[in-house]
Amino acid sequence: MLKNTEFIQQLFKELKEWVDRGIITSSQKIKIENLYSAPAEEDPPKQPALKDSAAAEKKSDIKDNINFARVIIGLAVLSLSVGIIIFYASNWRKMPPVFKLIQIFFVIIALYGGAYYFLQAKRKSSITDRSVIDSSLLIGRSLLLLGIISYGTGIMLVAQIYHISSHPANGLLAWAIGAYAMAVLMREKYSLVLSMLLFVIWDMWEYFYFANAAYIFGIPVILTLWFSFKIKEYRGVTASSILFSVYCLQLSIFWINHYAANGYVGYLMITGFIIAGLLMNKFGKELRKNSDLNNAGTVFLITGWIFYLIPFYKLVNFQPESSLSIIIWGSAVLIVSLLIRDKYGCYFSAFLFFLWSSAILTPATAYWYAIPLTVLAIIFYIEKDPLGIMISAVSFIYFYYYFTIGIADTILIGEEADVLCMIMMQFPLAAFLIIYGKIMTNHELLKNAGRIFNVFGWFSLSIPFILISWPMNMTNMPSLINFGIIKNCSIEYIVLSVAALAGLSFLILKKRNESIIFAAPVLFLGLLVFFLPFHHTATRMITLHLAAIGFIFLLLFYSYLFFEGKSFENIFAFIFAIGLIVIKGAGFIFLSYDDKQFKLAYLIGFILLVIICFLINKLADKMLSDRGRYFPVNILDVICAAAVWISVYLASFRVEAQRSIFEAQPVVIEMTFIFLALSVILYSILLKMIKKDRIILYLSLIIFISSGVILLTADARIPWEVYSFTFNLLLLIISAVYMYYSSIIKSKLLLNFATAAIVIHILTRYFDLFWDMFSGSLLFIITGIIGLAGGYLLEKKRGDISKIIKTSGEDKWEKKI
Amino acid sequence: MRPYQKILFPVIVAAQLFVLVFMIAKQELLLANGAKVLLKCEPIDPRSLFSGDYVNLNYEISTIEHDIISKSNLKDIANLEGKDIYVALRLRANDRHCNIAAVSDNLAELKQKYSTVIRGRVKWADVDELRVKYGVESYFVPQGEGKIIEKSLDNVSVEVSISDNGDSAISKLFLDNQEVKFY
Repeated sequence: MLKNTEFIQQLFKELKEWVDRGIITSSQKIKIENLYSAPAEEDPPKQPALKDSAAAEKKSDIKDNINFARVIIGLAVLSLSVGIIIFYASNWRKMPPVFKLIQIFFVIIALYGGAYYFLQAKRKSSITDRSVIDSSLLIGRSLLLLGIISYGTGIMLVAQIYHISSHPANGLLAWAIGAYAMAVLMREKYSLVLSMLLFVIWDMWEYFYFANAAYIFGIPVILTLWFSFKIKEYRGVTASSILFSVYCLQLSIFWINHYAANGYVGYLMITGFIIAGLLMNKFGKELRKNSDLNNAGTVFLITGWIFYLIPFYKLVNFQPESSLSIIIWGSAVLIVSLLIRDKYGCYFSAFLFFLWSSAILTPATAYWYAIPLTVLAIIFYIEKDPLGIMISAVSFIYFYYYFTIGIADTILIGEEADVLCMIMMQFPLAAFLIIYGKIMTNHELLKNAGRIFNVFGWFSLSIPFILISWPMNMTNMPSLINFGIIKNCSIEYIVLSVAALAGLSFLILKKRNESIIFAAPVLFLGLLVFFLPFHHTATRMITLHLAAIGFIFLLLFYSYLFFEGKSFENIFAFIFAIGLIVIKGAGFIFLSYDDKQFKLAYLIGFILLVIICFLINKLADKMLSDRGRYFPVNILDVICAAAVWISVYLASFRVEAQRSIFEAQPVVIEMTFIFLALSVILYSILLKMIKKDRIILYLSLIIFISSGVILLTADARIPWEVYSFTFNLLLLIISAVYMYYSSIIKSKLLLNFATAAIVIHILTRYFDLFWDMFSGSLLFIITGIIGLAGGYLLEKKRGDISKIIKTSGEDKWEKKI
Repeated sequence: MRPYQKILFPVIVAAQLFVLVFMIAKQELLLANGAKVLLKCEPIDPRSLFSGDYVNLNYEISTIEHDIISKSNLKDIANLEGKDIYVALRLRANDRHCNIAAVSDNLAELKQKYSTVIRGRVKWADVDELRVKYGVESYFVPQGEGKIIEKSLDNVSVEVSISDNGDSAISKLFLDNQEVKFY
């Protein structure tokens, strides 16, 4: 019904005219007026804004009368109810109980009687004045509310007089039921709210304090839901939906706490919860189609989801011994989600199966995980759900890692061989993932899954480089080609490689050159590894290091050639290169401290590796800039600079007598020469290619040559001072070079690094030399003075260069970072 | 008002009044017909017994000790919380107060041996001990007057009326053997 007061006022004016003209009779007029005045008193009209209030006053005397009456009566009801409660609750001291009881009976009857009398006014046709009808209705409703309150007060009073304390919640329930019955009968909104509030308090009391299920709570909630819906009171629908959800959830938790048990009871309960979730979900979705019921729909939808999740609550109650309950749970969620075509439910079931898989410990059952995985993947494919397909992609990779590798663990004998096998398996796996990732990327639906395969593929490839590119003993792991004890691994290796090869052939057929360039080398390396004796340290080290360097170049160059900084390969190129430098650096430094007689050899070995990375970076930059492509050359420049500085710094301390590199294991010598040769080759290529701005090449050549010379000439007969002097000098040169170079490449980061480097260097040496010469306090005083002066000078210098950098245009690199 | 409202309104009012009448009648019948026993109160923890307008009462029979439990048919003692049990009462030697004679989960069984059996609900259960509430633990007083009882709880006894089926209600409260009335 329309509730617009202006319209109603207009209508009333019109009605007069209609009567005057004889269109309607005056009794019809009254009927219409009654019809339109009813909703107005239920929903008070909004007060007009202050400036309009004067005008509004003139417009409608009726409205003002009503409002004034309302305010007065409202206040009166409030104070009266407060009075009643205080009066009775204080257990009137001097009154004998019988008198008290009589009084409360009298009050209840009087209030209800009054309400009965005034509420009849509405239908009395003899009263024509609308304001009178309104007022009497209002008084009637107020008395009704007071009657309901006095009823509750009566219950409390009886309980007090007879000292009843056995189950106090019952009294509240009796009140709530009485109030509810009256509110529903008289369509009294406020009484209904009051009675629902009483029910809620009762429910909480029973549920939390007395630990009872409070089943009865559901009845008023469902009834209210239905009534609110019937009279189109949508706030009521939402509110009672929330109560209904709470009711359902409290029952569920109660049942789990009291009845959940292992075996079929638990399974049935899980299934029951999922079906309840389905119904709630379905119902919620239906409701949401109607904009008025949108909120209630959301409440049901959320409740449905909570039902899906509820077995989490004390899952142990359902089935602690096996993970069967999770299977039932996951399957039930999957089935109902398919029934109502709810993709989020499918994701959730995928998660549950994942959960289940992690609970499986024996290989015998492990493979079963493939079934839900495949089913889900097919469902997601049929449903054309990209996110679902991505989830499946991740799950499949997880499956491979967790199970087939995990099972390889248990099949193999020997503690190390299985781990090594697992690492070896990354080569064909990487090839497989990258190749199929590339194939899938071109498929509209599988695009994202393809990307995931690709990402995981590259990271799989990194694993062996990180873990087995060290001179460790791997002799207890035979070659893959020999099968033998690791037969299963070899077969798996072949299967993966063949599958990858098939994928590569597909790429070749489709002439996807960009993909082939990235995928083919990975597969090639995988095949190579299969035939090579990887337990042989030199073979493994040389292969892996050369491959790593190869991949750095491949990734840096081709990713920027093809994708111009828009693909995963662009990012991975740097992750791989930087990761390699950091991990190798950490390893070399650790070894240099572990094996002190070869300390310098290890540190210089790392310097060589970094120089090679630096040269490759330069080469990629040169080749790309020749082709007009952008390449962020500074990233690796700065990383390499830092890495070189750190190793030179570590080498600049006093060392034990060093042994000659030629006394080391053959693998070290071989590696050294390969690295040296590689550097020389790269230098000659670069010097040929780069005609301008060779300065940095020459500067790096200084580091390369001096460290190379030390590496080859190191001997026990050479005193440590020689090394120390050389490296200290080198360190100063390096810092100076960086300062200078930072102005060329306009990198503030490198400049700051160089400044810090010089400060650290000087401080270290200073303490080295002077610690013994001065007493402690003097040392620190002098240090402080020198530090201040040095800091001032350095800052001045730094500021100057900084200015140069600022004035000489934008700092591209910084921006990129 | 619609016709059905005109009819149902008085019906609901009557029903509400009936609830009150029922409550009163039930208690009055219990007090009139029930067996009267005198129970001794004990101080309880926490010490703040007086909360608002009623006094918390704790009885000797609120705690059932091991020796009584061990003679009973009760099983799985720790899981009795929230469940109803029946407690047979008998007069103490040289005393007007009653204490526990036996305990069971079966009313009929106790009734065969003992005349006075009170029903209680286990609030807290341990292997050796049960804490029971009988529904006579609150005594309503006018505001501010509960302090008197609280101060001398060692000397408080309560006369409880017990029906045949074990329901109980407070009939009188004694302070130093004198009945206390608050009106």
